Amino acid sequence: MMKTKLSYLLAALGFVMVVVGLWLLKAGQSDGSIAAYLCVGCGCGLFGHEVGEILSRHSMKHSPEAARQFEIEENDERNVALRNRAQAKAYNIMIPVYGVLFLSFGWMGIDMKVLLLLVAAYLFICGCSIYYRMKYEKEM
Amino acid sequence: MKNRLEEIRKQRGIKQEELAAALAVSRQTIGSLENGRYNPSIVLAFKIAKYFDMSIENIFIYEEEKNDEN
Repeated sequence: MMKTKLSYLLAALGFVMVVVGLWLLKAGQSDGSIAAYLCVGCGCGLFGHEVGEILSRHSMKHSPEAARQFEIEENDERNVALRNRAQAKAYNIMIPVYGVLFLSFGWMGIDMKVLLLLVAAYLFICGCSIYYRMKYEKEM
Repeated sequence: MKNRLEEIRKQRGIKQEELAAALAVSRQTIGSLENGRYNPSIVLAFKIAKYFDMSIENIFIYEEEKNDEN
């Protein structure tokens, strides 16, 4: 019940953000254009996600069999293993792809601040990988 | 790892869907187990054995990997 209320609240917040963003864009305030685009983007995302959650919860509530089947599919050990394996593979591919992308950005001469931020994000992800490896090593 | 899951299930006249529901796994998991494409966790292996009232060794056949080194 609490989750549903929160979803309604967040959906309303998303809708308000979209309206405010569109209003800012229509008002033509050039200084606030970034904020306006951010409002529209984040608002759409928030609204869509929360409405999806509400609809999903509503349909599950009215169909216990579908809810049970959904839970089985979610927790099914083969599905979990497939999901983990696919994510691990995607991560392994992401590392060299991002490396090449950053090299290309370097050659293209993009702003150093942007490049450093991207590299910092890349290293943060690598750091997370090492952290979780060590964490799981203690658990297993 | 080979197993006799399909044979035992058919002997008892149980559908894949029924077995999946009883073990709280998806029907695809049962299919993959029967085809030998997926090896179950030890927990699922125990659940299957308990469901059929058999020992794990009677359902799953462990084959040691052949070592080519002579």
